[in-house]
Amino acid sequence: MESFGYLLHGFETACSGWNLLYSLIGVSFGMFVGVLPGLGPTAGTALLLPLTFGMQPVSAVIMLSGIYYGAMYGGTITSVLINVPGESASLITCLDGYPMARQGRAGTALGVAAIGSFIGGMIALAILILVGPLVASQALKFGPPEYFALVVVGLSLLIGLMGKSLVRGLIAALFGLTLAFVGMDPLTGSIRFAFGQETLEDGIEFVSLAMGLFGLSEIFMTAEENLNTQAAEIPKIQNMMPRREEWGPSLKAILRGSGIGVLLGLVPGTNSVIPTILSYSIEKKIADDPSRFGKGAIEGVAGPETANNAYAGAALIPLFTLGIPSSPSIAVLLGAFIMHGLTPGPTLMQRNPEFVWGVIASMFIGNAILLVMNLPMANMWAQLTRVPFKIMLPNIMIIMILGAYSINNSLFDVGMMLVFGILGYFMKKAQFPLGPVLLTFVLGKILESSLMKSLTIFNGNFLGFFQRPISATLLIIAITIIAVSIYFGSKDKGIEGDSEI
Amino acid sequence: MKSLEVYISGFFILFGAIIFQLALSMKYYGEYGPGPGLLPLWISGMMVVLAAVNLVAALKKNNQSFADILPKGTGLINVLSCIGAYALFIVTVPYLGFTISSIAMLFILFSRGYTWRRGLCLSLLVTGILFFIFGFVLTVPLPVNEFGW
Amino acid sequence: METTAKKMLCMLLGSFLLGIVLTGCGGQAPAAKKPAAESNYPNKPITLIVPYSAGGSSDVGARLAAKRLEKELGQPVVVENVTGAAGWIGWTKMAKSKPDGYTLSLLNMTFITSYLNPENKRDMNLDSLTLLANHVWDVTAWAVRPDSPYKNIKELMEYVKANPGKVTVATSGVYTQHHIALIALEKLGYKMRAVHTTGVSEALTTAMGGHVDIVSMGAGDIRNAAKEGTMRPLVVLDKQRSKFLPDVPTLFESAGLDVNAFALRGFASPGNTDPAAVKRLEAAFKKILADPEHIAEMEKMGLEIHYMDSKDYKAFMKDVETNLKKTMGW
Repeated sequence: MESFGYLLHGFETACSGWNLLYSLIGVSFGMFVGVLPGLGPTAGTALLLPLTFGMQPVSAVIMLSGIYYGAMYGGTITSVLINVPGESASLITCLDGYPMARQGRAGTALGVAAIGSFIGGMIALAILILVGPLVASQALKFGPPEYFALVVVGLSLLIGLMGKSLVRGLIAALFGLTLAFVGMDPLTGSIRFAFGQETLEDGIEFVSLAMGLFGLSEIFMTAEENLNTQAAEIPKIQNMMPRREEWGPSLKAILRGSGIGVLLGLVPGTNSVIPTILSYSIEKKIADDPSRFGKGAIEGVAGPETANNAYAGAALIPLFTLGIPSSPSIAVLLGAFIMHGLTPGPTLMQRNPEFVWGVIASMFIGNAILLVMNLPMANMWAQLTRVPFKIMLPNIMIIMILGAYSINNSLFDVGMMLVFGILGYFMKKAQFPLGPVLLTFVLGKILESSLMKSLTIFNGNFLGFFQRPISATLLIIAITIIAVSIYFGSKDKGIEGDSEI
Repeated sequence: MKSLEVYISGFFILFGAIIFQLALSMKYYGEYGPGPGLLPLWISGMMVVLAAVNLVAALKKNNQSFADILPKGTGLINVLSCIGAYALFIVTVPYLGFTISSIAMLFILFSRGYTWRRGLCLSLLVTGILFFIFGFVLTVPLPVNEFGW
Repeated sequence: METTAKKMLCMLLGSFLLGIVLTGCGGQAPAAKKPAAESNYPNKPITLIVPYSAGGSSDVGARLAAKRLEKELGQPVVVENVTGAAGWIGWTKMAKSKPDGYTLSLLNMTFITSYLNPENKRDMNLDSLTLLANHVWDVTAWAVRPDSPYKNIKELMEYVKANPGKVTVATSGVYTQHHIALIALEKLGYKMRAVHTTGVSEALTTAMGGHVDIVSMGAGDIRNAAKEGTMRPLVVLDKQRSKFLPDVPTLFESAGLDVNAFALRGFASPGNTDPAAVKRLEAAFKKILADPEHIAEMEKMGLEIHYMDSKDYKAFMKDVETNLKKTMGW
């Protein structure tokens, strides 16, 4: 087991004083943004990204990934206690978590969610350790045509899973793609859509886009609603452990949730909401008495909460090995890699093993910290839902401005963030999904450049894509996804709730 | 008739049309494959079409009137003061420097929830801390005025 | 005003006596007429603008030099990364700052490519800047996979001539020295297909995976890949062999083609920078760039130092400009 030796080294890196602290800061901040309704992992990671300037790359990524999976834990608390999802992946948890809280079983709901999250996270990490190096060793076979095909799979899945707001989702996705074209064309060097702005020649700054669309817009939303409203009374948390007869079904739901989360984490174009929805509907389908769901069924909390954490861990596999982000939050992490001069891709695991394994090891530690934070300390975090927004808002806003500024030391980026913030605010109000904008923005750049590179390699022959086994298979999968979703799309209304992302 | 959906769709149509127009002047096809203009042309074209479809649907439904969607009273003032304070910051910071602009922005925001005295204290405090952290600890070259702050 | 000017002159003279340069006082007289207090340059921190993001090889190289410059001048040298428009935003910021010698920047040869390209509509050229010293000379080389059929460069070039557009070369981007070398070769009848990736590491992995035939990179990077055994160096695009790849033939010696490619990174300050400051900086750069410790630390990164003084550097860059104009038809 070569990986095992590396992992031990990784623990050495992750346990060195500062990194342990960064891991703690990361997961705490993750819990924090998870608990605060509105700010989710995407905004949270984007917010701290600029602050990691000057840090060791491994410390920076340890902290930022901590925010990411920490938010998955934190989001549960508000869902269960006050029926408001702290972040979108915890939306489904409201369905059964809140009813449990009303029955006086808030503690159990949070307990099973924490245990499930922990197990899901651990399973995903185990898979990452086992599969990661394997994928990495094969990743050199991924040339531009394969990247192109994989992105096409991702985009078709994005469309296939769009569900009820298809037109709006497509507009959002196309908008993200259009934004990706701003800047220098990768093949000919022509400058496109820069409107005479030198800053735009490098394209739109990802952090301005992410923080504007996700963070700033949410701040405007919250400012409008509850700058002065009193926080809701929160129920008391006690008896964290499920009853004896509930352990069996809960554990089964947790294992199924892990499987779903891990599988979806591998595919680009998804996001952490999809595994939760899938897990919930599976639990409901196979339950002896589906009518319990929506009234406080423990499997309805255990499954989805596990699935989103398993997803969070597994989504790191395509990031580490291919440099392809599966979800918007992972796209921010990708930005962090690039900012710190690391190129995620086939050679990352070979060239920077101490980095990769340090981050992986830190996730074991981080998950353990989170388990402690969520079981004995759940009450403390619940109090956070009562911090008045009037003190949070100005602080978050000025830190966001400083963050956007310090990426390129550019006021232009700060202005762009405001533009995207206002746009995001209105898009949210009109129920346009925002996730696709960010995801297609990132995937769009890979899509175009890999298409150009492939066609240069194929000497202009489009059929070249089908003459290579991996890209041919992937493209056939993409075509199947589109065909299937068109077929079912006419019958089924698709998965509900995803317009929230 | 003032449906938010109509305005948003209108925005996407306009944005798409501008990109489409610009993409027309770019090379459509290169030596080996699509030129710089091909993908933007198609993507923005599709966006315009879909946004138009959405626009027509919105005009028929007309269920989201702008007046309903826009916040009223305090909510509206809150949102406007957020945007206004932010815009004020961007406009003034190249001349006044980070500290003054930041204090002004934070003061506007804090005084939405606190008395003006407290708001001023808080904005001075927060600006001071952040100026120290970003300017000295993280050595970000913050925009400063003639006097270096 | 007159007395201040006199005082300045005295201080200036004093500093010259203390300093290295004793000659040329007459030549310096016009500088003394300026009211700025440059006589005791440097007396405050100096900003070095790096127009690329932190952590890249350009940035690290510049930071290493900045550290030594700081010691030499006795004033802090603050590195500021001002990114955007492939370096242009940083250069604009530098060129627009006060020409007092307190704002410098890393200058890349791509500065010239950027303003020569008519599509970019740039408003500066070499004459808008004061060139101080050249720092890095990064010669381009080509490498193939160890199992590649291309064993020597002569055969490869014959094959390319007979089969135009058949061989693919990965570059680190459009209009890089790697790309421009391919254009120059095409003009000589050697047409290859350039696959533009987003950077050195992507170019390398694309070639390692066998998706392209050749990768074009800096000689230092190729040396590192060769050490790992992942790539086999093929040729150096220069007249002289590279010290990183002493066993690798040059394009000129084996195929008789006079096409060379390199990256050139030096230091510049705004146009008409105060001559006293320029003199001090020039002397400082001359000293630190000859420091064996600095040469060694740069070599470890795969970067070769090639010092040129202000005059030589400017003349060389002018040559580069002429060649680029000819090759690209700009």
